[in-house]
Amino acid sequence: MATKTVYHRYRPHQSPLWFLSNRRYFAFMLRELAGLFIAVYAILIAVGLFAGRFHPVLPGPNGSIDVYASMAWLLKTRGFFVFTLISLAFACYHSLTWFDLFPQVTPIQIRGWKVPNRWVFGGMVALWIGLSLALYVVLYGGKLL
Amino acid sequence: MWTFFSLGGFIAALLLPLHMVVASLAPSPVPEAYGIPFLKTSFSFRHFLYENPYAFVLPLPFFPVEVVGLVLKLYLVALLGGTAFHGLHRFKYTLFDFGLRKQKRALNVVLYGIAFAVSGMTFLALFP
Amino acid sequence: MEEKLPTVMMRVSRYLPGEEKPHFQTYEVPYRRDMVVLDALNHIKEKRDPTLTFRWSCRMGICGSCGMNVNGKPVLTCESFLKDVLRREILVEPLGHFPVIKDLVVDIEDFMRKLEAVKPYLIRDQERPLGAGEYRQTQEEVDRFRQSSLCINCMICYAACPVYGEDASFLGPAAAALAYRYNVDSRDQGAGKRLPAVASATGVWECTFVGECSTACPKDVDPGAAIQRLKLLSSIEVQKRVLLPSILR
Repeated sequence: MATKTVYHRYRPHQSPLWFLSNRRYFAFMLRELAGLFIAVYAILIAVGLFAGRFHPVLPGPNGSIDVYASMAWLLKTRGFFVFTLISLAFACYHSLTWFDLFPQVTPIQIRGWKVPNRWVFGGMVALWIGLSLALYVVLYGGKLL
Repeated sequence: MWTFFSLGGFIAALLLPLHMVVASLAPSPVPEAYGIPFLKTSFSFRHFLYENPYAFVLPLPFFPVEVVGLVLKLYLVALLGGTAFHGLHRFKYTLFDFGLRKQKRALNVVLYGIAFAVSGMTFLALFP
Repeated sequence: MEEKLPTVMMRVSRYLPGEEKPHFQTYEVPYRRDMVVLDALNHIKEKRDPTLTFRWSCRMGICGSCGMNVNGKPVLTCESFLKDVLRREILVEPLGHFPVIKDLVVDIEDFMRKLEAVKPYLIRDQERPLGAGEYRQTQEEVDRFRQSSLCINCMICYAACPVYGEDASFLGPAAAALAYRYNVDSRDQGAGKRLPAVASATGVWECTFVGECSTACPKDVDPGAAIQRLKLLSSIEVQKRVLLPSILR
């Protein structure tokens, strides 16, 4: 009976710091990090809205914690202001990378002609800025800073 | 879940930067909102609907106030919930990249749980 | 006095089956502006070290055999000019993310299984009888899958993909692009049969759209975009199956 000799293969392992080896990998990681920052921002605002409405009280190490008061304090700190600035930068990075990715996921066609990805990107940036300006005007009643 | 992720990504991309500026960075245009004075620019739906000179852009003559208010509240739920879904879905995959792929089930429960909680909290806070 | 011809140093990965890990060997190779990395490797094999083992065939960028990591980047060595990768020592390693059999030769069994898993052939619910004639396609219908059909199975996209690098059960760019190629072919009716391979936990859902596969692809197949479109198509298909009873579909 013939036996098959099995040789050991060398199996390479990917370094956990793989994203540092290449500019595009790094940009990808930044894009993912942007998602985390905006998620944290949304979580904080949602908790703030909820606490403002229901005034929950949690048991704490030194007596009870008024969540609303804690959120009120947190959202007025300089740290949160800096966090929001950083998150805003990440949010804009998210927007730009999203507009770049979108035409690759859903090619836009007008009667058989494929709209070039660069045009879709430009169009979406224009829509983004236009929508933001329109909303700003609506929310501020036309008053600018 | 990917549908929530992509819709959330769309909403966050188009609308979140502005709302971040309005909610947390720019000075407040109106003093009152939902009893949350610490939001630097929170706004009251009453003011927004009746005293805003640009309120004519809203289909007020055609829809009752309740409907417009409803739409705007759902908009906030979608904005915050969608952003949370999108970011946490991405974060889940980042955690996979850092070796936590085996804990997929647990991460699904925790991260999507938080995202659902964000949507839920916003919904409960805004709706009676 | 004889003029010394220009040379270049090649640092090549060597591995024998059974060894614990690869080591590097350096060779001095004559340099001409029109030489590619494959030429340098062949020079080494012919003139310096006949034990060096590597795959190659067409030497013109169409067979997909000669994929290797040059200076850390996965490329076709027959298309990689020495002048474009010049360094003190040009680093040549086996194609990344694959088990190494010997020297620069990698085990491609996993890739082959994945190609098979996506059923890369036209699947019909009902074959047309020969008398009905050939399947006709408009230019637009062909254009839908043309780009995805250009894949030469070189596996460079797998070497570029950090998801595959971390988890080899991921279906991968080329196999997914191949599934997409057949799913959007107007003659094909087998998208549903490909769902198990495509829409599983180790299918397209593992992809995080890093996009390096499309950047690295020597044939501009754009597998990254193909995978995202598969995600969209699969989620629509799954939602249809959940929401609509089978009579309506």
